[in-house]
Formats: sequence, C-alpha cells, structure tokens
Amino acid sequence: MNRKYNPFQLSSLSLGTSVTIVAIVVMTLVAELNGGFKGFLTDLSGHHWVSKGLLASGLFLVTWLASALALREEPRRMRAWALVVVGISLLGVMVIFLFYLAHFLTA
Amino acid sequence: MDIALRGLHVALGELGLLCIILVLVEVAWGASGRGVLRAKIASLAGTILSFAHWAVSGLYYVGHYGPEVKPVIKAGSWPWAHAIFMESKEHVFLFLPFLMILILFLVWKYGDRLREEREPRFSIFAVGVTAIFVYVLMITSGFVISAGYRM
Repeated sequence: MNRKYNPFQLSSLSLGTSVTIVAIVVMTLVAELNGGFKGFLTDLSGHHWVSKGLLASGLFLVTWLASALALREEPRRMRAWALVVVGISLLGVMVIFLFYLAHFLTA
Repeated sequence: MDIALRGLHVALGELGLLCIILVLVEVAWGASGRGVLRAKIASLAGTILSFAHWAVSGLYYVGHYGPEVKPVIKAGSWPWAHAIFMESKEHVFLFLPFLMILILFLVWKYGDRLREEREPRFSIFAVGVTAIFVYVLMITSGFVISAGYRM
C-alpha cells in the first residue's frame, strides 16, 4: 500500500531529537576517553566541538527524514514520544555532568 | 571584539529562553486565535535565536574562550569551573537547537488544536520545560565560569 511520505510527524522528529542527544553524549564521552577520536573530530573541522555539532546536525536530519519512511503519525502516542525526549535529555545532562565531575576528581 | 561576542552570546541565550517562556504562557492560557499566533511567532523566534546563539557562542568559544579565558581559569583557584562546568555546558548546549525544533514543530502543527486537545499541550509543556531547564543550566554554569575567571 502506498503511503504518502510525511516527515512532519512527532514520532520521527522525536526520534531524530532523541538519537541526536544520545549521539552527542556518546561523542562527548568517547572524545574525552579516546585521543584518537578527539583527533578525528578536530581534523574534521578544525575544532572537536564544531565537529560534534556538525555531526549531530547531520545525524538529526538523517534520522528524522529516514524514520519518517517507517513511522506513522500516532496521536495516542504523542505524550509517550514527548516523554522519551524529556527522559533522554535529562539523562544526557546527568551523564555529561557526572562524567566531567568524575573525570576532574580522578585526574 | 571578544567582549561584544560574549555579551551577544548571553543576550541571544536569554532572548531564546524568553521565547520559550512566552510559548508556554500562551499554551497555558488556553491558546486560541491570537494566542496561537503569538505562540507560533515565539517558537519560530526562539528556534532562530537558538541557532544564532550557537553560531555566536561557537565564534566566542573557539576564537576567544579557548586561547584566552580557559588557561586563566585552569591556572586559577577554581580550575573545576572549566573542567566540570564549561565542559558540561558546551556539550549540553548542543541539545537545545534540536529541542527548539521539536517545540517549533509541535506549536505550528498542533497550535489550532491546543484548546481542545490535552496531548499537544502536554507535549509542548514537557519539551518546553526541559528546554527551559537546559537554558537555566547554561546561565548558572556561565555564572560559575565567569566567577572562575575572576578568581
């Protein structure tokens, strides 16, 4: 059955946002623990932080637009999708802060 | 130039925060008609501001903070102001533009149904409050980092 492609739905945008935030957290931790990865990020754009932003933006677009092919608008799940984004954001904040706190205390 | 960039990054951030607050106020007030229009304008302005903020902050961070401010903080009495707060701030900030895009989408797509339907109102509030929380973390961290520079 042909379904009209609609990228403007909460499920795909929420998934894009969530995946991007997870990727930011992972890139942050890996770059601090692995000098090679940090060097790769630096070589990409001249600065590791700029590269993280660019990669995050690219991942957001790809995840959002690609997931819109498979996901459907589900009004009943709107609250659940919003809470996924909230949960991942708050967890991401905590992980990053606690990581740098531990990194500083053990350095 | 660095003072101008630093001031601009603070101003853009706080204006962005104000825009989300405006969105939530309109949604909480049972948005309809002009209220929905105001919420849409505020969400669009907030999203544009978050990207402008990203660009300006990036210029300040790469061009001035890294070479000029960071060494002073690390050599001072509060080295943790950079090691913990700035490192956290620069990475957590990256969540914001994507949260703002999501709020923009929610307000523009479901704005006309906000009065009747609870689900879109809840979603806008949930993501909006999260974005406000992140903005407040940015402001608080910025204060600590600035204090660390002066120590």
